Amino acid sequence: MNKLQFWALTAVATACLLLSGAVVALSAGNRGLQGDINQRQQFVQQSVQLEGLYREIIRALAELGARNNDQAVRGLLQQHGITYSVNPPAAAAAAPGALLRK
Amino acid sequence: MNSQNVVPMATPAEAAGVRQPQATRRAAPAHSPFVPVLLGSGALLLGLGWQAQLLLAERSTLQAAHTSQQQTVDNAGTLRASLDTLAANTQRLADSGNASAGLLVAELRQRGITINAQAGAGAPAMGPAAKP
Repeated sequence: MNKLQFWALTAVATACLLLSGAVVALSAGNRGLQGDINQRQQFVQQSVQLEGLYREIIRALAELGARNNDQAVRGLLQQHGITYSVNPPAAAAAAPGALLRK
Repeated sequence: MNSQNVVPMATPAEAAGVRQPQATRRAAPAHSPFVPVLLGSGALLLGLGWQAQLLLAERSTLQAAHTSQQQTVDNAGTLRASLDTLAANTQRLADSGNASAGLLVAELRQRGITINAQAGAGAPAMGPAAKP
């Protein structure tokens, strides 16, 4: 093996070594990124369930506030940007209060 | 023993005047390992390069997915913060003696949801109720 062949093989082997390191780093990075995405997706899915609960709480608070003419509850909902108006008794056969969300 | 006096003995075939093939009479030339090592290294280099390219494409896809879900995650965080604040305020209202809020908190507790009015900004105000 002459000098040129030696350096040619050394260059190829160095490139292999560098590529191996890059492959390992990319694999680890992709695995971490995938885990992060899965975690965020789980967070979003749990939040979708909580959104239903949030709406239920608001509806219940509005109905209770309207039924009892509770100004404290009305003020609490107003803090969250939610106002409601009580329909006149004639039109309020189905629901005691109608929600108006800002 | 003087090696200059050593005379190689003729093989029986040479003695009989039979001519041998040239390959058997001469030593085989030494092969350099350069070509096989170069081929192996080149194959390894190609394989690693291909794998790195695939991983780069996968990384690009994952980064796009990560970016695209950012808005949804932000909205979810806002919703959770609103829910926590509303629940904590409702609990405080119930603790202060408000009947409507108390009714709602009791209803939530019956459904297995407890509210922690003392929860800070980082801690969730709502959680599953402790099993009796």
